[in-house]
Amino acid sequence: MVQFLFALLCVVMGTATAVENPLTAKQILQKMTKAMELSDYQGTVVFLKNDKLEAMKYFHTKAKDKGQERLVSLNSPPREIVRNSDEIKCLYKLTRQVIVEHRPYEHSFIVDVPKNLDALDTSYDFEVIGEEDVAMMPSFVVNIKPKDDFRYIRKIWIAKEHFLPMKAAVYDLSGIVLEQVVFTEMQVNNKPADQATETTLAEPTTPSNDGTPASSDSSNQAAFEVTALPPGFKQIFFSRKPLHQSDQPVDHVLLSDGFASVSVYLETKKADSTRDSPLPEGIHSVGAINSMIRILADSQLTVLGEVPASTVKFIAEGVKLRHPAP
Amino acid sequence: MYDEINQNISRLVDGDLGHVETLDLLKKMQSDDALKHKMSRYHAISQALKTDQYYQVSTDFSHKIFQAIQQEPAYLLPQLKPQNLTPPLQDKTSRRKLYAVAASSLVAAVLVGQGLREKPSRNTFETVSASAVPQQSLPTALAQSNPAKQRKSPPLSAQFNDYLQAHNNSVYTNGEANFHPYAKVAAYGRE
Repeated sequence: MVQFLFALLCVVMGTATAVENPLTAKQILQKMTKAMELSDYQGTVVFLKNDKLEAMKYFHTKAKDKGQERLVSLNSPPREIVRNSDEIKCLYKLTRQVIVEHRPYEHSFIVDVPKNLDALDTSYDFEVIGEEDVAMMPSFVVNIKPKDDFRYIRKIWIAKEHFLPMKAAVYDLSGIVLEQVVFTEMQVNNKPADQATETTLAEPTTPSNDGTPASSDSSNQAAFEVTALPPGFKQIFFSRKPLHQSDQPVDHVLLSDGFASVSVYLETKKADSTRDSPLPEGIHSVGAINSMIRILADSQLTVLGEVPASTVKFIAEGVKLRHPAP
Repeated sequence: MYDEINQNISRLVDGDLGHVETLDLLKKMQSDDALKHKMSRYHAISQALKTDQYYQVSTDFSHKIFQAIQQEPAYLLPQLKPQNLTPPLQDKTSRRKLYAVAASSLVAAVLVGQGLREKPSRNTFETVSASAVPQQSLPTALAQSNPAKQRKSPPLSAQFNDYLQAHNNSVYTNGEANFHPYAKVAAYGRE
């Protein structure tokens, strides 16, 4: 009898412990990353970015150990965008024009969450702040709160059923929404991936001279040095290649703290300032993106990213020329 | 007598009638349907003369408000009773208050109507559009470093667009039709 009572007590205690220890925010985010990689799902997603609202059909398939994302626009201009690993292809259906890019530093159109969340502990607090329905799916609300004023607040709504992201939002430090990505409906497919993805995006008919970074190994090759970085930010990517419709190369260093990213560009200042109406020196903003332009000798430095204006200012003021600009 | 009432209705429609006279007129209109209809006609004429627009004010507008107030449920909240008022007097006071509220509502309706008419005549009814845009706006040159005071909305420069495109994938999702200097055009599909 005593043994029975003891066993019953253990079961009750075990149940109670399980109830008292729900998933942590980091565990939910890790499950989300995994679910995003391994699930075949599709839905309608609305992007509110850079002050523009766009609704698109989204498809994610897992084929041959590689995830593929596909976006099909619901509004003009009709286009289809496909991401295979770090390669993005965009087809403009009216002109039949295909644009190919390599973005090794991005993994999803919906939300990018670093795999090692513990490394972000110095910059962010992670907390489950509640549960809400998104597109009629009960979801965890994970708050990613910065520990300083160098970055924005983020929230991710993750479906309790399959741990896929239903909504992601970026807020400024006063709580105003700057960017949002939200599913209005989602279906998780069980059918084979090859049937799920039927892209109209044809393979390029010409050899793929596809904008692969001319150099992406080390930012030491850049003509400038970023001497002051906000805590948690690291240099993750460097390229030197033409950005505009000219052959003039532009140095591009990408900084990231895992969630927020900042690009630093340096190019020779144009003699004819009327062409393309370049922005003057100072701080500029669009949506969540803030930027700062500085003139260093005969070069123009532009720092931009989805971070507060004070952060781009801090980074821009710490940039020094290493040697003459490209 | 009727000339005076007609004049008062006209003044009420024009918003020129005093408070006491308005109350008096409304009392009379309560018991006289002909007056109510006259009020409605005057209002329509006034509107037609001043604008191309017409919107009907119901003749029993004030009556409906009066009825609605009377049908309000009684909330049994603790309340201090006025001690010097006898019950009939209290009733009279409350009726006066109701008349006052109804009259104020009618005057407010007339004033709102006038306000609408006084707007530029191009469009009496303005389209209200809701747009989901963040509170920050498009880029601009800013002399100061305080971002909150710096936001204006000139178009994005081509250079800024190029930088934005190189920075993240939002150019694909926000419908930019004319970008491609950063990513090289790999192919033109031929059907």
